[in-house]
Amino acid sequence: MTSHVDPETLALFAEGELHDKEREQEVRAWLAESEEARAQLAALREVTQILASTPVPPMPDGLVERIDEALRAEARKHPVPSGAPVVPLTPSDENAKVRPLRRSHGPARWTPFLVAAAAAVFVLGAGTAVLSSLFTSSDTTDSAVVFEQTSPQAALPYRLAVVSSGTDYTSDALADQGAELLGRSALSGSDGAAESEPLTPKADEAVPATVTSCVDALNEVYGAAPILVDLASYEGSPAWIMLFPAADNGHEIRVVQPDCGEKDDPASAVVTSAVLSNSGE
Amino acid sequence: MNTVTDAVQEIPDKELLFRHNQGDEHAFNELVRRHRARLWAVAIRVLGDQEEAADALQDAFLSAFRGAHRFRGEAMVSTWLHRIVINACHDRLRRRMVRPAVPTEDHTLDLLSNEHGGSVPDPTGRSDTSLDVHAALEYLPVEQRLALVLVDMLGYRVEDAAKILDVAPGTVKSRCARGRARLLPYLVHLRNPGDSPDVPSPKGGGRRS
Repeated sequence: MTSHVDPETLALFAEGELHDKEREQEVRAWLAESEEARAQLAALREVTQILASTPVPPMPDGLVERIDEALRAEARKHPVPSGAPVVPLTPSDENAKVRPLRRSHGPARWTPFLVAAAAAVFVLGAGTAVLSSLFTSSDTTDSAVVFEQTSPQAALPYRLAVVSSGTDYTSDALADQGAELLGRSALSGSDGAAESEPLTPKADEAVPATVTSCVDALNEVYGAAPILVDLASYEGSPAWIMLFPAADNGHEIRVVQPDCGEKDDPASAVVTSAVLSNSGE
Repeated sequence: MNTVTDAVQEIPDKELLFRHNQGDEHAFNELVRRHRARLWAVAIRVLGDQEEAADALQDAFLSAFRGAHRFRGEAMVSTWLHRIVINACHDRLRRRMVRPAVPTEDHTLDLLSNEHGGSVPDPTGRSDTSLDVHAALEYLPVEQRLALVLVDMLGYRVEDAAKILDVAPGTVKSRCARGRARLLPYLVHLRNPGDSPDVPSPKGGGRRS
């Protein structure tokens, strides 16, 4: 039998990637009876050996320095990497206590500041009536999250910064509230600490898994993960406020329904969004 | 293995990336120092051209530097960096191949492709093995070339290559198999005539997991 088993079939066979029992039998039979077949199989193995023994040329002279220099230049252009989840840890006792996701009484104490600051905003879309009805049934079981002081050991190298500012975001003031959030989280690199309390990110264990899955889902959709998530409310209903990096070191704020991780189309959970004009300075 | 940060003296890659994101100026340099040799090997193998590989490597490090905050922690930093380098190389290959000179599906070997591929293996005589291997790689579709570079040339485990290329391990295996079959006619002249097929090689067999 000089039947044709081409090199590709043989190579796939050798990798166990033929996925065809009959074909595999044929190849086996052919290998058993044909010297040529065995030689070809050996030749294929030699391809691997030839490839493996080809030396890697050394890095060209000066490349190491060139790369270092390029990175230094880049660092000068952007002293603080945009989107860095640099959130100061405040040692205050308040942060070590239970932090309600949604304050049960009264507006957060910084709300007056925000309202005062609210001016022209870019709100894209949003029907708030529909919104409220969507949110009212949202469960409140996880409305109180114990903040545990993170031990250095427990801190993951990268983690999503998740906070609960207690802010009730509004359609009118969304962009300003987003800018305020950014400032308080110190992501912008500006020190807004003087005028408002810095936010402390939750310990990893305190971040609900639903938040993580939602963030992952949105990351797929937008090709970027949020740098900060505020478990807060929007027009009085629970909502996750996410800050995404945008062009020119700006940010986009997106208001997301808490169930977004379970949706087929996670983007549909995004209720509204606004662009923060280049924050910081 | 994602979160294991054993009490090794050396700071884990992920911690370095985190520090970089926090504004530590030296953290990223350390990452570069750790990975550049490996990533250089990938770039030069994929692209074959020193200048291009150098540019691709620099581009890749810059985009990793800028995009570090997008690293999500579920992959290893090394895998993530490899992906960025592969992408940088891929872009260059695509640009190089604006003309559909390299076959992607069928077996048609475009023998005219030496126009863009530099030297063609010389079946008659001896020549530098590296050059020949590189020239032969030019005949492969990009996907097959990437798989073979990682697995056969650089000895990555199939599973690791699959993570880097973001495909199933089986896909890596079949791409390697097809690539080997396609390379066969271009590399026959490099076989040791009269030798047993089991030519020992320093890195050979590294592909087996």
